[in-house]
Amino acid sequence: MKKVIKLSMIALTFSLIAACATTSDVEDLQSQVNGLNTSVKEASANAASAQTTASDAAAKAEAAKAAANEAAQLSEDANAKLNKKFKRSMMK
Amino acid sequence: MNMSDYNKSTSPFIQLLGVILLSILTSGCQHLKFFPDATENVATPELRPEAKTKATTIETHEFQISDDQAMVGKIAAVYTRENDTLSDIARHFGLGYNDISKANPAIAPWTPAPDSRVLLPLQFILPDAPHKGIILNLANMRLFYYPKQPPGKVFTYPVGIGRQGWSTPMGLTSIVAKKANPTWVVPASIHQEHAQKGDSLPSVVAAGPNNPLGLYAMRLGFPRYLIHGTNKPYGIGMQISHGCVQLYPEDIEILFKNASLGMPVRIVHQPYLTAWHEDMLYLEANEPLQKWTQDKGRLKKQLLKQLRQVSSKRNVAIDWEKVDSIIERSDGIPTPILKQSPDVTDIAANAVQLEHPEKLYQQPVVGELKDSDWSILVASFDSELEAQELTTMLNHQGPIIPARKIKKNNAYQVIAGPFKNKKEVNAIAKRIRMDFEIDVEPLKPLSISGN
Repeated sequence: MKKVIKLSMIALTFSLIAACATTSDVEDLQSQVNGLNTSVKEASANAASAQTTASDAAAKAEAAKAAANEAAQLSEDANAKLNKKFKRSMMK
Repeated sequence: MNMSDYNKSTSPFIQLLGVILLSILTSGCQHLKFFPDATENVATPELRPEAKTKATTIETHEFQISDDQAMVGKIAAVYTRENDTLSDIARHFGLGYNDISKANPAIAPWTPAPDSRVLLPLQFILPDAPHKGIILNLANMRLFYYPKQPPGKVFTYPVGIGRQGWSTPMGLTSIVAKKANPTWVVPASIHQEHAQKGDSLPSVVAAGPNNPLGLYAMRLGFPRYLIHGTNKPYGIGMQISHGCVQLYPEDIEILFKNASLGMPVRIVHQPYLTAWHEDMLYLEANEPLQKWTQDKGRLKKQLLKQLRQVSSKRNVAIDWEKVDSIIERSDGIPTPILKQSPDVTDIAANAVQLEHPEKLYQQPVVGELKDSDWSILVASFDSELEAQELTTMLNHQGPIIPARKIKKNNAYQVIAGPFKNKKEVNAIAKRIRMDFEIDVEPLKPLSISGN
């Protein structure tokens, strides 16, 4: 019986020690989770900001492309006009 | 044999193979061409001129033909040099503006980048007409001359023809008169047309540089129509006349000497030409002239019917998709149309590569402009290319309007000159205003300065 009590005491001590350690881990984990939450929020904010920047860049690129196309079209029109004038200058 | 036997028996073999493979991988890298050398091109879409053997000459106007021959010549190519234009290259190789611009749609005709590979469509399908006298195909603006003596020859020249509303007449006629150094008696209709533009023409223009007939004229049986030279050679290959047929000055000189009175002249409009050549069926497509635009469907239908007949008669398979794409392209390049035959990209890649001539025939040369010369400020551009384009167009006028581009501050000015005096300046200024609709500024001597 004595032996059983001794063993029970040892087991209880270990369990308490183990329980304490578990609580500390949970707190640590909670802290990490909180930290991660903050990071996720920051990352989300960054992503949103990046998305806005990307959208702005895409819009600018689209505008630049449109402007380039317009310039190319104008240049092509000018060439066609000039070619037509050259052809007219070749008539007698 | 069980698996263990297999392992036992193959183990030394695999080991040996491993050793061989390892030795190949370690020492053989330098010998085996898994990876090309850094200096070696992996893919060369077109060989650089120095890497290909180049021809110095090619037949451009005169070809030997047999009785049943329907196509002559070869496709060639040449690389541009600085200040070349497609018009200069066209004239040198006996091509018209239409020929060269259609065959090279990606090259700016007046401002090609140096070292551009220009395709020279010097292969011609003969029009479907008797090989007698002169045959003119309006659709590709090309004249064919079959001399009686020597037989078995054909000469071909690009031409300028009547513009929309002033069509060159079609049918069979003949040469009824020949005249060297002709004077031009200006018809009333042309007087009227010029008067509407604010220009007054004399009733007769004497022979000389301002005569649009050039140095030679041959009257046709069609009243009022001529085959003649020109003082505006860079209009060859365009619809620019009042119905007459114009040739480069160098070409009319030869044709004039060879053509005789009474020689038959047949004028046709054949946009789609076919030929059997060296066991291959070829199709050359040209855009029908504006006058026949409405007839394009009918002309195409006629061609397809003809091709179906040929296909059945000769028992050959035609690539119909290719036929469609050739008609769509309408670039005047004879292209094989049987199944598995080379495409236009192969034709271009295999074109005879020519050495650039030392000097292109009659390429305009502009003299130096001094402060003491009369000149004209034609226009000012932000773009150097646009300035260059107008400059070359002026240099290709007939008679030439010498011009160059000058960089001034951040702009490019097009300056025409030198001119002898104020009178000449005013006459040229009037020409530029009328033809190019540009409000030019005459410059007195000493008022020009570039940087």
